[in-house]
Amino acid sequence: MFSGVLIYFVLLGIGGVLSYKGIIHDKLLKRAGYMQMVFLYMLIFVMGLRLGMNRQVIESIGTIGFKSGVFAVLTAAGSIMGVFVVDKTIIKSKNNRKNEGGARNDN
Amino acid sequence: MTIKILLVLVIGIFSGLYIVEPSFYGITDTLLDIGLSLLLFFVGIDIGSNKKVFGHLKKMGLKIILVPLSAAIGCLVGGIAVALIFKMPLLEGAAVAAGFGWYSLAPVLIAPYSAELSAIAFLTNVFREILAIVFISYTAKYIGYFETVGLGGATSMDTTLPIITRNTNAETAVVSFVSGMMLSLMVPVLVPMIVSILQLQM
Repeated sequence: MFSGVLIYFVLLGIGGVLSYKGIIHDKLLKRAGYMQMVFLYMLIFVMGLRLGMNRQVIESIGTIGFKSGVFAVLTAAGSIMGVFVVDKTIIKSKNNRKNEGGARNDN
Repeated sequence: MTIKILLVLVIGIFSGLYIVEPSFYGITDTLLDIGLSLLLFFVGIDIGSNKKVFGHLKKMGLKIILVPLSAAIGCLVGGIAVALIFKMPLLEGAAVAAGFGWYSLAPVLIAPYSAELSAIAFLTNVFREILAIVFISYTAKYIGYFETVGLGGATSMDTTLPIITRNTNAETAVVSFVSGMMLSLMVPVLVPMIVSILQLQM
């Protein structure tokens, strides 16, 4: 498992260094976002395939859906609270609220 | 984009259920490895090309790191709280939470431990991105700018970055990118670590 993660990190690093040093051709640089999407969709499709082929997961999707919803809400709320506490006690940033100015858009 | 992703996922699930032979399952491992490797290579290219961001980072100093760190800790606490609610092993809750919204990577890393937990991680992170897209503007208005970065999690460097930028200011946009990048870098370290401990306990 860790060797796989090491390969991912090395590839991330190689991409970053090549790009930072200006070795990557402009055309490829412009397509980096598009290429990410291509591989992202491919990964999502393959993961869907694996989920579909796994009857155990499919049969328990009702429970998984509810649990996942609770996980999403509480992890997101936890992140917001974590940043809120640190911002108010340590960072004490100014212009950190929409009504205090600095917002680009009201949407 | 989220709708497209959900559509691709549904097509994949139906293909897995009714079209593709079960013998194909082994090949999907290789496909995931190749896809993920290439995805990370292009993510690296994207990060490396943003030279200005590193200049802003130097100006803001070390305080900028506190945003992703506090977001990560808050998220892990939230995940552990959910594990307590559902009477799951606490580390399983932490593993799901440690995806920080990166739905393509975290489930893949959890898959060797449990297909069900991998599915939970996937859906959790997809739901979390939808929550972020919907609630970033309200968070900016009623709570604070940096908190939108916490809500975005790992996606605050890519998919939710334009929404955060639109609803906050330039400083927060830089913090958002750096925070998303740091959280993204934490995912392939934290999730396998937690999964390894879980596998040792099996």
